[in-house]
Amino acid sequence: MDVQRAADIIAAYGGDTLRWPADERAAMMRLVATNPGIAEQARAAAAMDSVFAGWALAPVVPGNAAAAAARVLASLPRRRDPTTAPAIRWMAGGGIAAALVAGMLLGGPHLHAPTAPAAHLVSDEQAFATIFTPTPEEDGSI
Amino acid sequence: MLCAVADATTDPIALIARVAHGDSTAFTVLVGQLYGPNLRIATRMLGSRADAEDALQQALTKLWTQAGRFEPGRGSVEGWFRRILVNVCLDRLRAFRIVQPLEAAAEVASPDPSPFEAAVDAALGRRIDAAMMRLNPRQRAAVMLFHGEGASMAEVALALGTTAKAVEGLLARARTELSMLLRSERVEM
Repeated sequence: MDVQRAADIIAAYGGDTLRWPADERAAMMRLVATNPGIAEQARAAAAMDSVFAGWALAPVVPGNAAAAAARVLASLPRRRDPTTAPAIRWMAGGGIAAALVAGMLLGGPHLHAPTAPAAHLVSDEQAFATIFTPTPEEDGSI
Repeated sequence: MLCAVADATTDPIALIARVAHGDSTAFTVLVGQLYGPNLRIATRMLGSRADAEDALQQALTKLWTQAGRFEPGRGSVEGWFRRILVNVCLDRLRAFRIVQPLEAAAEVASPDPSPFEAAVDAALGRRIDAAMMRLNPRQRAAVMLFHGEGASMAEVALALGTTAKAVEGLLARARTELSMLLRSERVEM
């Protein structure tokens, strides 16, 4: 351990011997015990450590964690919640499927009416290509 | 048996696994654990309570949306979230050159034995706050994590996305600059 390395360690880690690198601590402590200059640097660094810790640990007025969590949850789309019973999810899915079938039966003919603004701009072939892109094997059978 | 139940409901790693699957109850419990210490970090980093709350909100949103990315083998939930928060704070400081009213100084608790000593303590606290806000934000983050949170050099390096050697440099420069600032007239209160 040379004096320069000791000074570097004190400058970075401060004066608390417990914060010094474990593999260099013993050599550092020997040097502090024998070198008054290094010992003084360690004392001065310990004073600055107190300033740093005092600043960093000064208490702040507590915030409302529950309100913060609620704001996050309210601001984002909910992901699937595992606490929801699977049976309820299946029932909800079944309901949606039933509604779709009913819609197709009751409103089916209207679905083909050219009411969509862009529908007339797309040829039947283009529409088919968009919906169904065959694999090479399927391509041969078409 | 009871201990196992308690662990499952409060252990941060168990909680974040549930958050990753969209469990809002686990999210609320985890936020309860992380909020206080990280509000202090954000307040010290940004020098403003309002900015700190905004930054923390942003970090909590990332906690909710990115919980699935947490890898238990690479560290603690607290360290992982601290890294998110520090990066949010550094991004905000990069985006805005924040000029602080140093309102945080008013929140410094003072166990004052007398009005005079309280005034001296408060003045010193404001002076230190002002000096700290003049440091480079990465230096401030390194000081906050190393001296405030007791993080190791390696943990600070991970949070700042750099090497332990670079953190040694940040801390050494912070120490030198703070000494100079506290001695100089340049620190405005």
